[in-house]
Formats: sequence, structure tokens, C-alpha cells
Amino acid sequence: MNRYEQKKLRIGLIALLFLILFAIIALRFYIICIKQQDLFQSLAQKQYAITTSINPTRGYLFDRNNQQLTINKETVSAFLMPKQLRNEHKTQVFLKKMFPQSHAQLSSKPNQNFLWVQRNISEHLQTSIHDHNINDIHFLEETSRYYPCDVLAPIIGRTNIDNIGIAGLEYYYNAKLQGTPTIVEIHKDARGKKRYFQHHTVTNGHPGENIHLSVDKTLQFFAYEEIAACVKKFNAVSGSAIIMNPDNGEILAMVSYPCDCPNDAVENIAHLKHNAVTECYEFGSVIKIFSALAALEENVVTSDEIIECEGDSHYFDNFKVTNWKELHTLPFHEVIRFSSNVGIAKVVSRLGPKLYDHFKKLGFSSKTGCELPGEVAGILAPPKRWSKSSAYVLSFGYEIATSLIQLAKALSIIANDGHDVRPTLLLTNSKPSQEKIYSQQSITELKNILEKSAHRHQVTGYRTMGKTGTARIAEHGTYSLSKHIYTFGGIIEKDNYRRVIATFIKEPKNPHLWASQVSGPLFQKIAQRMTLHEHTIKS
Amino acid sequence: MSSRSYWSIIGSMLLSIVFIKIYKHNRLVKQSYQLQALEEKKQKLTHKRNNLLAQLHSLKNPKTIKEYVEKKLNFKPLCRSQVLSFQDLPEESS
Repeated sequence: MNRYEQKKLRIGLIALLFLILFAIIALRFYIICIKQQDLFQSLAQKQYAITTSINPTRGYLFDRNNQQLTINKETVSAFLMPKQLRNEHKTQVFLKKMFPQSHAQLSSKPNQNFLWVQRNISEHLQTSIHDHNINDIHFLEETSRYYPCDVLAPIIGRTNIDNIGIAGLEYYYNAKLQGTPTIVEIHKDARGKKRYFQHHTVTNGHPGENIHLSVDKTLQFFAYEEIAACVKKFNAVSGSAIIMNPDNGEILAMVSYPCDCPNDAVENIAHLKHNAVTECYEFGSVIKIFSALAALEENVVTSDEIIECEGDSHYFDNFKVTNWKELHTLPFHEVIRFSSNVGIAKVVSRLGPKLYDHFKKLGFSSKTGCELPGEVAGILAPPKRWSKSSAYVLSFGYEIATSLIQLAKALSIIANDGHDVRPTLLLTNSKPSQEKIYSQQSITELKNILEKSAHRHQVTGYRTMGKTGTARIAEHGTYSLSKHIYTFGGIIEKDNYRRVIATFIKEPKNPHLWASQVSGPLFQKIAQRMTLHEHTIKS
Repeated sequence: MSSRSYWSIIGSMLLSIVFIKIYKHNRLVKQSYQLQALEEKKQKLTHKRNNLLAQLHSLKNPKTIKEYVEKKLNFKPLCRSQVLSFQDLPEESS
């Protein structure tokens, strides 16, 4: 074999070697791209494709004048990943000093994947973390709620740190406000960041819905101020007020005092509920309004009929009923005006069990359906469970426990000339259809009686009707001598303008007061500010 | 046309198509990054807007307004008796 042929042989062998190598590569290519296509495609998908959910913006709450009552604000939360700490000692020392609770959690469970350092962290602490170069602590933006008008706290409620409603309307309408998240499939880039080159919507979500309330923010503030001043003046435990439009059931203001600022942490869990809806009491003499309505409707009495009030007390079937002062013969409208227990008991005894039917018709011992959680139905025993004295004591407001909103609803029935009405916190654009449940004659007579009854708490320029109520609070099976609740239920009227105001002040320090000294003036002040706001400043 | 020219033209066309595809993909990637950057900017501006809204509505709080007008402007609360309506005015005697 000469040199030329040797050269040719060597080249041929090298070419064959390369051919074999290329054939191996081509075969490998074939195996990866054709045979194992599905496997590698799924591995690649796992690497760069992720499914993420995009939470919609939580819906807002507005008052009746379109003033925004809730705001979505971004907050920053700090976290760390214990398994991936780069400078463990430095982080531990910092945590021990600044976040002792997180430090304790980290020490007890050092192998967890994720640990919150602090949620909703202040700017000052963020700066401190940056200044100390604690790179193991990372930050995450979260959405939270901010409430600019804190007097509305018992109505609006609040959300928790995860932006889920836990009280008030935020809880009641949580699903509506929250909306549903949109689930999207996106691709990550080589740095692992969610920079999508293409995205594919897996599930279309719904944005959170806005809710428009019937409440007037300014009226709420006025009522809150007056309640707060009254509670402080008399050193009382709590107070509440409702202002309602009796024509359509819209609640214009609903105050519960005391209440916490919803932007601060919960101090007292009892303040999360609205006491006009969640608490029921025996309101005392204010219930005489409805006993009188029942008696007038059943034609067992007229407003001029003379009733013997028997001085300071009288026995009904060996049960003693007392008047608050010595009263004798009075026309029925004066029985209400002077709040004679004996007088009203005598009239109501003519009704018998029908009193129960009227109380049920007016909505007592039934939930009103108001859009707040925790509403109580109240207590009203049916006639088959009545004792000998029940009919008498019911007439002047004992053995019947109602909530303030039930009282406001019953007053609204009188105010709107006998039509049933449902209290609501939502803005209604149309007047709902209402069943007439009381005759015009009874309503007119009762309104005249109530006008005389409210003579001390008149609002200039408006027809003012109402009744006070002073009642002892039941405690440990007996009525307390030192704990009282003072109520006023009133109606303001002028031409087509009508408003119902119901208030109570609970347990003032001084037990020797009357509602005409406590809740009567409170009603008058609220009514005056309300009429000024609605008929002067606003217009 | 010689076969050499023919294959050169085919080769050039294929290369052009490949380059156009690569260019198109690069543009898409670049614009996606730009879109993402704009969305981040939008998010930051939304956060800023929300903070400003919070400030605005805090200023609209009746409590805040009352404190300001009473302390800075020396306003006093209005009483019902200070407001006269037409019915309150005395009738002119003829």
C-alpha cells in the first residue's frame, strides 16, 4: 500500500468515525424529539409554565351621597424562608431584638419552609430591616382595607389581615365584595420571574361588586356625636340610635356606642357587633305606643275615654301594678302622655291575647331582615305561656324583649300611616310595595296622642311625636334597682318629610333618672341636627 | 439558471425565513418585557392613587372637618334656634 492509498484509508476511517458519531447524535435527537417528546414537553412546561390566580379588587362601600366609605390600600408584609437562610446568625439576632414573636416561632420550628415576620409592617420597620442589611427577610405586597369614616364602624364592620370580612357588612356581603379570582397560566423567564410571553386564562373571575348604602355619613356622625356626649354626660355603659325613613325603610344612620376604630387592631370583640341589632331589652313605657295602637285598632278604647288610674297602684288579679306617680282620672290620651301603667293595663286587659297578635304584626320577636350579622329576634311569649300578670306587664313594656331596630320598624309603621316596612341598609331606588296593616283612623288618633306625649321634646317647625321609656334591666332572675335603660321612640313630620328616630342609653351611673331627662333630650338634639342637615345645609 | 444559482437562491430564502422568525420572536419577547414593565408601573401608580384616595377621604371625614373648622376657623355649631324659616317670621300687620 503506497502513501496515497494509506492517506485515503485514514481519511475514510476518520470520515466513518464522524459518520458514526453523527449517526449517534441523530439517533439521540430522534429519541429525545420524537420518541420522548411528551416527557420533555411536560418537564419544560413544569419549568416555565405556572398557574397563578389574580385576585380582583375588593368592591367598595358607598354612602347614599356616593361618598366612598372603604378604600383598598397596599400594605407590605415581611417574611423569611427558614430553610434558605444565608446569614442565619445575623438574622436570628435581628429577629430576637425587633420581632421576638417571630424569633420564638423560628426557634421552635427551624425547618419550616415559610414564616411571616410581620404582616402589615410599618415603614419605620421596613427601613430598619434595610438599614441592617438583613437580606434573609423579604417583602410582599398585600391589599388591605382602610376606613376613612370610623363612626360607621359598627355598620361597615372590618376585614381581617387576609382581607376577608369578619364583621358588619364586610362580613355579610363578603362574597359579593370579594369577587372571584381569575386563574391564568403564564410562562416564567430564565430568571424565574413571572414575565409572561403569553398567558392563557383558565378561569374567568368576577370583579368585586360595589355596594351603595342608605346611610348618610354626615347624619351618622351627628348622631354618633350626640350619643357619645350623652353617654359621657351620664356615665352610661352604652348607647344607640337609629334614624330611619319610614316610607321605604332606608336606614339613614345607625349608631352603636362605644365602638372601636376599624383601622386599629380589635381591642374589644364586643364592639364588633352593632348593639341596635344584636341586643334586645325590655324597653318599658315606650311599648305603650303599640299597646295603644292595638287598643285603638280593636276599637276597645277612644282617645277621649276617661280611664281611672287608681292613684299610685292597683291590683289586677292579686298582681300589683304601680304608676310612677299618683294619677287619677285621665282621658286615654293623657294616660299615654303621663305614662300610667295602671291606665294602659286596664285598657289592654280588654284585648286579651289579641295584644300578642298585634305585637307580632308590628314585627316584635321577629328578625327584621336587616343586612347585619347576628340580628336577634327578641323575646315575646305566646298567650299559652302567659302568666296571670303577663297581659298587664306586656302593656307597659315588660316580658317583651326587643331590639332597637324592631322598635324603629314598629314606629315606622305608625309614621307611614300603617304600612308594613322592612328596614334596610341598602339604597333603594324605588319605593317598595307595602301592605297596609293598620287603619288610617287608628294611626291618626295615635299620632295625635303621641304629639301630646312628646310636648317636652319638640323640634321647632316640625310635628314631633314620641314616647319615653324607663325600664329596669333584668339581672340574675330579678329586676335590678341600679341598672336602667332609657329609651325614646319618636317621629318627625312635615309635609312629605318623615323620619323615625329611636334611641336608648343603657345603665347611666345615676339610677334615679327618668327617660325624659336622658333619652328625651338626646332624641331632640339628634332630631334638630338632622332637620338642619337635611333641610337647610344639604338643600 | 444554473443549478448552483438555484440552490443559492433557495438557501438564501430559507436563511431569510429563519432570521425573520428569530427576529419576530425577539421582538415579541422584548415587547412582553415592555408590557410587564408598564404593568408594574401601572400597579405602582394605582398604589399611589389608593394612598391619595385614602388621604382625600380621611380629609372628608366629618370628624376631621369639624376639628379643623372649630380650631382653625373658630366656627361654632349651628343651633336650630339660629335658623329661621318663613313660617317663623312675624306676619306684617296691615
